Amino acid sequence: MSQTIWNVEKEIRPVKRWNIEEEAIYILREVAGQFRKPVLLFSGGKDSLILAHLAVKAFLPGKVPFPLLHIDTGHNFPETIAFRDEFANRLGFELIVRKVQDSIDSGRVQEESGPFPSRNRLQSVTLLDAIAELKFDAAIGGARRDEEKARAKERVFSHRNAAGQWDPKAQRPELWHLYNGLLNQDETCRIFPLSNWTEADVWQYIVENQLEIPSLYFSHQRQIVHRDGQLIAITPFTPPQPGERVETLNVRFRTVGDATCTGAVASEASNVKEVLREVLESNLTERSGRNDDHRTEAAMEDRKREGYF
Amino acid sequence: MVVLRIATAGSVDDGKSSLIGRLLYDTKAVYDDQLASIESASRQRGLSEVQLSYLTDGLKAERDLNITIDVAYRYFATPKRKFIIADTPGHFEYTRNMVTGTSTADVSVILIDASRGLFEQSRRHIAISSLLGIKHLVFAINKMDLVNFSEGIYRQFANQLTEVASKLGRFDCAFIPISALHGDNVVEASQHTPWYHGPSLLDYLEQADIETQAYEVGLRIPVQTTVEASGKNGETELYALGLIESGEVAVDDMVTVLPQGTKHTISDLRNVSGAVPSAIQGESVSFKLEPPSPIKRGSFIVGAKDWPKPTERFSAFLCWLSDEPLKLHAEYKLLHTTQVVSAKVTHVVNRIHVESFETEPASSVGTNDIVEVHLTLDQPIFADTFEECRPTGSFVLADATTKATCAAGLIRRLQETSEPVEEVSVGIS
Ligand SMILES: Nc1nc2c(ncn2[C@@H]2O[C@H](COP(=O)(O)OP(=O)(O)O)[C@@H](O)[C@H]2O)c(=O)[nH]1
Repeated sequence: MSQTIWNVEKEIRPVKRWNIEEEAIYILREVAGQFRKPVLLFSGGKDSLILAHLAVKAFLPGKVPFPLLHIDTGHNFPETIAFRDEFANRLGFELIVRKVQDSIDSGRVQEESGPFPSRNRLQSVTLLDAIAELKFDAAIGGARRDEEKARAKERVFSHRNAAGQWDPKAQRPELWHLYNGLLNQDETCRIFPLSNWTEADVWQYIVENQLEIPSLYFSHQRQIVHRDGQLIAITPFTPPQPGERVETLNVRFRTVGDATCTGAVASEASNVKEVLREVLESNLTERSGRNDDHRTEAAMEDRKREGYF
Repeated sequence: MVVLRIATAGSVDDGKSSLIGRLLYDTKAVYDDQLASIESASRQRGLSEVQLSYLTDGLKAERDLNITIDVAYRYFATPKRKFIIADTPGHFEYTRNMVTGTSTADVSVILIDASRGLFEQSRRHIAISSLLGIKHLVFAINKMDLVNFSEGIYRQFANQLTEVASKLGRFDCAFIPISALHGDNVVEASQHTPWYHGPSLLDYLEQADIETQAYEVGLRIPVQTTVEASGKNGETELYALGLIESGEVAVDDMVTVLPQGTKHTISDLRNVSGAVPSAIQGESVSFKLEPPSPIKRGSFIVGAKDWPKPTERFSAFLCWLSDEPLKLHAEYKLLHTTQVVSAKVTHVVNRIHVESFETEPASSVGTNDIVEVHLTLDQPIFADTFEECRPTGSFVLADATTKATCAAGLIRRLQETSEPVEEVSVGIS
């Protein structure tokens, strides 16, 4: 008798190996199949844009069975908002917007004090409120495991308790492609179909599929200051501080989140291919331009526990 | 680009984190800011050398306890391939994470500390790889610098491991003498091992033959969800969406929809790129059925002939993942392909001693146990054995109350409804 339990034979017919696109599409279809009312978190940034594109592909010839939700910090670059609206309209998505400003006005959260207030952290409350208000049971996000060390351990189906919190010690093991989306009352899931993508994969995909992306990702002239080793764009929310010298530089952004915490990089890359080349050659991770992660070593992990994206 | 999925395993301190850190570092997958952050973390903990292992030890608790406590995924690429590493901890109590990490792997990389003996832990990793059907094992015989890069010691380990591996499974094995700390044979061939003529670890991973097994059970498409689209005359048409887990399908093929058992032909077949005349195992597709059928999530599209048999009772291996022990005769939710049914474990046949595959009687089942059990379902499912078709032969058990995942299951033998479940023992003849 053979000494193995499973008798693995060599293949004779062609099969397709799963690539990251097929995997993401499989996950999006699982979301539609497993949850009552999913929503796709959409910021207008490149990751959520790819997600929305993949969703369109995943459900052809039908329509994507969930809306887009944007949590607007009120500190966005105007280019991002214009792109968001045009995109949702062009692809026929329903777009829901919830504003951090409204959470501040209603006293749910307090604006940070100090010289550089960021609303990045406040978003979590607005998001959790929106999920509860609209009774979503799954929120699909564009986070990737290569972005940050605490994310390297995040599951594809990431369970949140009834208070919307993530417990890194009590994650559901994820086996094969059997995703467990079973929930109890008021529990939700965050879903990350791009978990296995890297920043280079994202740019590669944009090049190959000729996706349109916001102009902020390409080199443009902008007024900036140097602050804590980063290039900060001058906007109404991020005025220059006394003693800082405002310069005009050719820059692009690697992420297009909240203007108060999104650093620019000096760049001459004016189209997607040039950006891809820069990314492949770059030796800084994309979140290095985000000062909210640098506050403490475990900044991201702490924010995730609270219900951050 | 081809993606190779790697599961790494090793006992504590074998050097797994150092090895992964080294692979990331030497393939330039580590960015300057990450390096700066681990440099400062190393300094804060009073260490003189930069700990490359911090690159993979993500969570705060791990740094403070100096252990890796969960599966972490790491990415790097060379011009030839993209690699996904599931870094799984080697502690006894975290075997469940190893099962998790290994379930999606093409290759297991098993770390051995050449300055110490062979541990039970390594046998366990080989056994779990065998259980989960992994074909390629790479033994990275580490800390060769501590044993003067001795060929004799390397050979001793290679012989011992060959013997263990051949007892536990049918593998393609490779043995690579390395130093994760200094980089020997990790990316570049080492000058310290002139007696070794094999590939470096990275060369091996770039070249490993990783073809996916083609299953022989016929067509299997579990329906994930459906969408509606309007047809030529404005009528609403229903499309099934799903992944071809086995077999192939073409437009005009006759298929069967389970559980109804009705026959239909396939039309308007699409894969992720658009309309296609045919599609194969591994492709996500959408299609219409003629005549239309009230399909929904959980419907199962199979060939006109090769049907899986409906079964309410089967025997399976369970890897118990939960901290709560198994409750015999209690209700669990069983997730199989795109279906959820209620299940009870009616009998524990035996516990499988993972270091030897020998069986022992088991009265209880707790975390990290691997057991063979009999299950009874409240309604039939259409399944294959894990050996015949992994996606339709595997399942997950979830706690009926908390809904948390508590076991991974591999179907061993399907029983037709009236037959009693056969008593079969596993393992080595
Ligand atoms: N001399 C030597 N020490 C090593 C080597 N690889 C790892 N180590 C050391 O062994 C210890 C454990 O390594 P680590 O990577 O944290 O092991 P893990 O617990 O398996 O992740 C650390 O002190 C490493 O510096 C090696 O190749 N040679």
